[in-house]
Amino acid sequence: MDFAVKLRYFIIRRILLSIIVLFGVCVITFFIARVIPANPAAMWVGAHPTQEQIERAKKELGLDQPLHIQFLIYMNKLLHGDLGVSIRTHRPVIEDILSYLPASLELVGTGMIIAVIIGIPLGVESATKKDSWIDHVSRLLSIGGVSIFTPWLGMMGQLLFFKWLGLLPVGDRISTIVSIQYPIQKITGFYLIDSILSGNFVAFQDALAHIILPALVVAAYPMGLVTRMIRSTMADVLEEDFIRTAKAYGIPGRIVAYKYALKNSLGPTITVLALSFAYSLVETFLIEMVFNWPGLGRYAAFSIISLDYPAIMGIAIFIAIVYILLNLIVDLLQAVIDPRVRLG
Amino acid sequence: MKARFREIRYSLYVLKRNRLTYVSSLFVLFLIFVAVIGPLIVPYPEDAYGAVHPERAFKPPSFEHIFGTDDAGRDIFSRVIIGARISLSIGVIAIVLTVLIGVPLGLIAGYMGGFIDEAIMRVTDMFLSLPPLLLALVFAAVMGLRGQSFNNVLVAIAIAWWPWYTRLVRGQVVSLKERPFVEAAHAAGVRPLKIMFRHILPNCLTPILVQASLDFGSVILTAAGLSFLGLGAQPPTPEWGLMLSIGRYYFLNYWWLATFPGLAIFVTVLAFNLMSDGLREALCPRLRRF
Repeated sequence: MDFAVKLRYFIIRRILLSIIVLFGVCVITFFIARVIPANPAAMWVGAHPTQEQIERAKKELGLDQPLHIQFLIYMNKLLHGDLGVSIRTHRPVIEDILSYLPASLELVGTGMIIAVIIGIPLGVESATKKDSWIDHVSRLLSIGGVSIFTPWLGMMGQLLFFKWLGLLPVGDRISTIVSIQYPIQKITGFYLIDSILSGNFVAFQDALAHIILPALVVAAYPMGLVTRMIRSTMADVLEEDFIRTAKAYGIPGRIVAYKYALKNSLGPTITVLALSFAYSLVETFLIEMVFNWPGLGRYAAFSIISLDYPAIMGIAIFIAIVYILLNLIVDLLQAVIDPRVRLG
Repeated sequence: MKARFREIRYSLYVLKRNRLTYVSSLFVLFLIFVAVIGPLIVPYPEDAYGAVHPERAFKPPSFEHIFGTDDAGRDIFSRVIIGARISLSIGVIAIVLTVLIGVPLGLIAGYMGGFIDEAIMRVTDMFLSLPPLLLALVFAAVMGLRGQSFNNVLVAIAIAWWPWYTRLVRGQVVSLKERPFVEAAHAAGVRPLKIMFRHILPNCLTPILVQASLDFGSVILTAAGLSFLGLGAQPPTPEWGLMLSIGRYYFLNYWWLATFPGLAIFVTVLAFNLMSDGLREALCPRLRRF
């Protein structure tokens, strides 16, 4: 009875907090976009603007109006999904973002899955067999993973697997030949899923070959974090009495570790995963540039390089919103799983 | 005084016990040493900035050029060594800036409490809800309007990282506020500002130090990422991230252009991360396993 009320209370408070934070983020981005630059209209319109374009931008942005009215205009645009028009592609920024999003989601998603599949068992083994060789390997991998400069890792991968071994392609999502002869039907926008769903195995192989290297590079950082997190929380959990009891009952070590201990370690790990998802989203700016992956990251990188400010701000707002929502979901999940969170 | 001494010596002893931490700490000292005396020991110091030798371009690693030469004929080894200077100084200055912003805010928020605390923490939460890399990127891009410069990187990083320190310090202050020594100082009539900085702050130094050393590696990576995208260091500065971004065009044919700068980044960040990991284990009493 009490739990249900506490849970609902927690959920409501948490959602309200997210809304406040979202609002605050809008304030921050407004500040960065309009208040800091010396000439916001020029930023919006691009290099070498005509006087007419500047005048139009001034009116659209409401630059002649007082600051709070400008903010209201800004918020109004945001709520309507108007993030401006990209100077580079001449399309509405929101259109650009939505069209490039599936490619990045596929890349980051695959990377996170790899990170989890490798990281969790590695962390568990490392925690259960302290100071064994696997412990040392996992510690090396985890600290190495977070210390590496991802573009460099990508480039080294290209050097090794493309230039020297000739096993994998150097970049892009799919080879031109395959995309012409065996085009993938667009169902979800994820090449790996769509090609399987439509029975297009040639394209699946090709897409897989293209995604494996960048996904591994994306996975490096989250894997490092996950391995670390699992290892340290498991090490604590394994000291607990209930684990000792389970072992005393004769339950085999592996089942004890995976079934009983792991569950308790998952909480902070999920939080860390959410954090690293957002981190990876921004890392893909660099990784997608190296692999010429046609996703949001490459779009962002190009926008930054060409100083396409509407696009830069649009991407920033988009990622910020995704990050806040993700944290909200993770926190709510934690509240459901772990009673201590909503009671404490 | 004697107690402090003993504590330091014990911490050093714990540090030495962990082989990995000890080695990486020594390596960090070595890196700092190399960064400081860099320009004096490199074979081609002029290559680090202005000099170009197009006739020597793209030479593979050899005895004259240990890491080979780049697209302008410059010795990569010299550039990498001098680049250490740049990366380390970015790290130090950026973190100092971050601490200078974050710590006082945390002290004030924690000590004053009430409305000021709420206000500061709300703003901190808002900044915390953005991925730091993103904030640094966007800020550097916008500030780039005023012309690309080095300082953009430093300020951008400080703006992105300060909230973590504010939250850390505030937590510390809140728990220390109730301690008798604070109460005693207050009763003796010490002004709040003095209490904060002379009494409470020294007790917070350890977590701040640990966090700063943990962040050092990330700051170097962030700075490299910024220059990789063209924000921050500009050619011909021998910054590692910049060298990678230029090397990207040639590395498939001339592998040494990209391999060595990136290796330098990896080794440096790894050393700092290992050292600070061990530092955290040594300095945080609750993690000490006896």
